[in-house]
Formats: sequence, structure tokens, C-alpha cells
Amino acid sequence: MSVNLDSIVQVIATRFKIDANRIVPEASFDELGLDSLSQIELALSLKKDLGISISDDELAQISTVSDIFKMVNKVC
Amino acid sequence: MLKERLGAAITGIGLVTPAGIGTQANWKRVVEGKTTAAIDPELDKFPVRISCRVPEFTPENLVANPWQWDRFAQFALVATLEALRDANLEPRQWEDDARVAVIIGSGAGGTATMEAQHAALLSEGPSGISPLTLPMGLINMATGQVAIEIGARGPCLAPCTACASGGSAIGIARDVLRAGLADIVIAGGAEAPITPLYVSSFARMRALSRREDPLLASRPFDANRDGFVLGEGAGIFVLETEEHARRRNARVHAKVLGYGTSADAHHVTSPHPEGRGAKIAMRMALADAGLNADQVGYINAHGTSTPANDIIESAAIREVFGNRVAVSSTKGVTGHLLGAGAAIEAAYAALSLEHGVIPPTANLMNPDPRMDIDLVRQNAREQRLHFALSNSFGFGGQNVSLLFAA
Repeated sequence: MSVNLDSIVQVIATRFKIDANRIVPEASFDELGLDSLSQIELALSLKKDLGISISDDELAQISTVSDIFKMVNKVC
Repeated sequence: MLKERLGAAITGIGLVTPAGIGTQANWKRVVEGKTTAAIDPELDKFPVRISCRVPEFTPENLVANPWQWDRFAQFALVATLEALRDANLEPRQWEDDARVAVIIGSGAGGTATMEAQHAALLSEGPSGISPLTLPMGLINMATGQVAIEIGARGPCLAPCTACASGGSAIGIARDVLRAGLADIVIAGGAEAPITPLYVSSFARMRALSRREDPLLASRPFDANRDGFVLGEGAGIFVLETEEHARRRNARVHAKVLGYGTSADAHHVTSPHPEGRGAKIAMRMALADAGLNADQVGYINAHGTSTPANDIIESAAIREVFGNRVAVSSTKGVTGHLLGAGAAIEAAYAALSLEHGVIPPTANLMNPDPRMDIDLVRQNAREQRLHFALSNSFGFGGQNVSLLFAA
């Protein structure tokens, strides 16, 4: 399974009502205003919308949008 | 003695209610006495389909990160920001942030969030629920989130006395100022209870009007009243010590002068048949303000439009005040906003004093003949007022009466 960056961006934009243009690969969760609870919420949305599973431990290792993309496509 | 009786100055009012967003829209609508009840498309499958919704509320344009806020807290923030603008105060620009308190009551808190997440728990299991469940669902989160947003670091409380919550908040705020614990208090109530669980629960108790025509459903004190209509929104005051208000030359709408609060100690939902708790609260507010009953010109009643409340409240008012005080219930216009109701009605009472106008009770066509009080109906009444009272009674038999001075 592979997931493209656009669909990850779309999930973030929809769930958190953030302009998709702001969600560049190098954007950190901090820069997007996503605190630790919101990052768990993001993992939940990625699972529901794209079937991506990110464990709490994995979540603690990543900090940017491209980290999600890399992790998902390496793991799968 | 005089110092002890100093009131709290109302220097800002923020209203987000079915009658509109903003004090001007609200005052126009309640003075016109036009009901806001309508068929609610979201209640299609429910035994009662009428509600009073806040019109044109678009949180995306009003709140940063609206997805982190339950609807009741969104209402609280929008009303707070309006009240601060009205008071000519800038959030986060406090002289001393430890002297700014936030006291916002709610009865139901983030019930929409809790209900949705409980559904997710049942359908998807423990890992399927949002980590924001509690930060959005807890009853104290309107207060907590507003304090974060405006940078207020003084006392921070969320009184819960069901439908009297906003009144408790304003009374406690007055006491916080009087005790010298803060210079400024953001005080009021917020509620967003038009949800499957709340509508169904109230309907099961037969507390809601079953009338077909929404325009005639909320009709306090009418002989044909048959229950209340559920509303939503928030009412927020900026309260300051009179000295603080004077020092910064703030415009004062009115003052909170008396606070009475009591329990029926009788039944979880039915009012005491002789209105014992209600009378205690009203007399306590008078004594607290150092006033006689005949000095009060207007009472904004709890007046829910339920058969039991309105008859018992009117008899209690008759006993404490006689039949010369003007009485109306603005719930004919707004419906019943539960914990926020007490706060928006406190604001309407304050605006009555400011404008010398008593709003009418909407839909009061055939006053219940058992009520021997001066009910204002059909048209607003112009009358110079010095003092006004606002009643709020909650489930649990919890009562609040607030006395306001011009």
C-alpha cells in the first residue's frame, strides 16, 4: 500500500480547517498549530480516512508532514 | 456598611442567542417580542422538532481552531470578545492578568462532544474516540478555554446549578469582586444543548412544548402553555469593581447590587408547591441590596412556559412583591437556554434599566387567570426604572435571584 502526499495533506486540511497551501512537506506540526492532543487526533483521522495506522510510539518520533509520508511509505 | 453594599459595575455585555449575535440585535428582537422558535431540520427523528437556534453562527469566522471547541465554548468565546469590545478592554493587554477572573456557568457543558464520542466508543471501540473528548466535553471548558484565549490568570470557576448556572456565575462574580479577589470578572453562562440526548431526555420528562406551530410554542404565563422550547447561546458580562470602572472612565450599563441563592429542598425537578426556595432567593437578593420590595420596578421572570414553573413563580412574586411590579419573561422570544438563560436574562434586565423599556412576554395571549401579577405582554412598556430583578431556577431545586440597579 502506498499513500500519496496529497491525500495526507487533504486529511489535515479537512480535519483542522487549515488552508492546504500552508501544509507543505516540511511544515512541522507546531507550525500548523497542532499540539500533542491534536497530533493524536490527526493519527485517528489518518486511520479513519486513509486506513493508515500510526502507533503512539511512532507518533512520538515524527514532527512534520513529510515524516508521515516517509513513515507510511516505508512501513507499507 | 455602605462599602459592603457596593455593587459590581456591568461595563460590557456580550450576547450570542437565538435573538441574534450582538447586544443590538438581541435588544431589538426582545423588545419587538418576536419569537425565534422554528422547526429544526436536525430534530427530524425526534418527538419534539422545535428549537431556538442561534442564527447564522459560523464559528470558522469567529474562533481560531474551532475544531478544538465544543459549540457551547464557541458561544462563550464569541460573547466574551463582544463584551470586552463593549467594555473597551483588549484581551491579553491586562494591567495585571492575575486580577482578571473568568466565571462562566453551564448546565450541560460539551454534551454534543460527549454524545458523539460515546457513539464512536460503542461503534469503534476505545481507540476510535478523539483525544479531544474531555478538553471539549467538560463543563468547565468554556471557562478554561476563554481564560486561555484572553490570558486571564485570576480566579477561574464554572458554577453548575442547571438552569440557574449563569446566574450563579454572575452572583459569585459579584462576590469575588466584593471580596477583593479580582478587579475584572468575565461572568455569565453558555449552553449548546440542542442535541439528541438532551432533546430526548427533556421530551421524556414532558418538559418540552408539543405544539405544532413553532411560533406559538414558547408562551410563558399563558393559560395554554404546554412546556418550554430548547434554546442555545451565551451571555457574558464584563464586571468590575465600581472603583476600577471609575478609574478607567468606563461606561456602566447597570450594576449588580443583590444576589440571592437558595434550594427548594423538595424535588429534583418539580418546584416547591409554595415556591419556598424561590421566595427565599428573591428576599435574599432584596436584603443583600438593602432594598424594599416596592422599590423594584421590573422582574425578568424565569417564566419557562411550563405549567408548573409559571404558576408557582407568579404566586411567589405576588407574595414577595405584591402585584404592582411589572413582570415579563423573555423566553417567549429566546426559548430556554438552560444555564445560559440566566445570563442572557440578566443582560436583558440590565438593558431594561439602561433604556427604560420593559420587553413584553411574546405569545402571551390569554394570561393564566390564576396569576395575579402585572404581566407585560403584546408591546414593550416604557417606564423609568431604578431597580430590576432576574429569577432563574434550576433542576435540583437550585434558585438564583439577581438584583440590578440603574
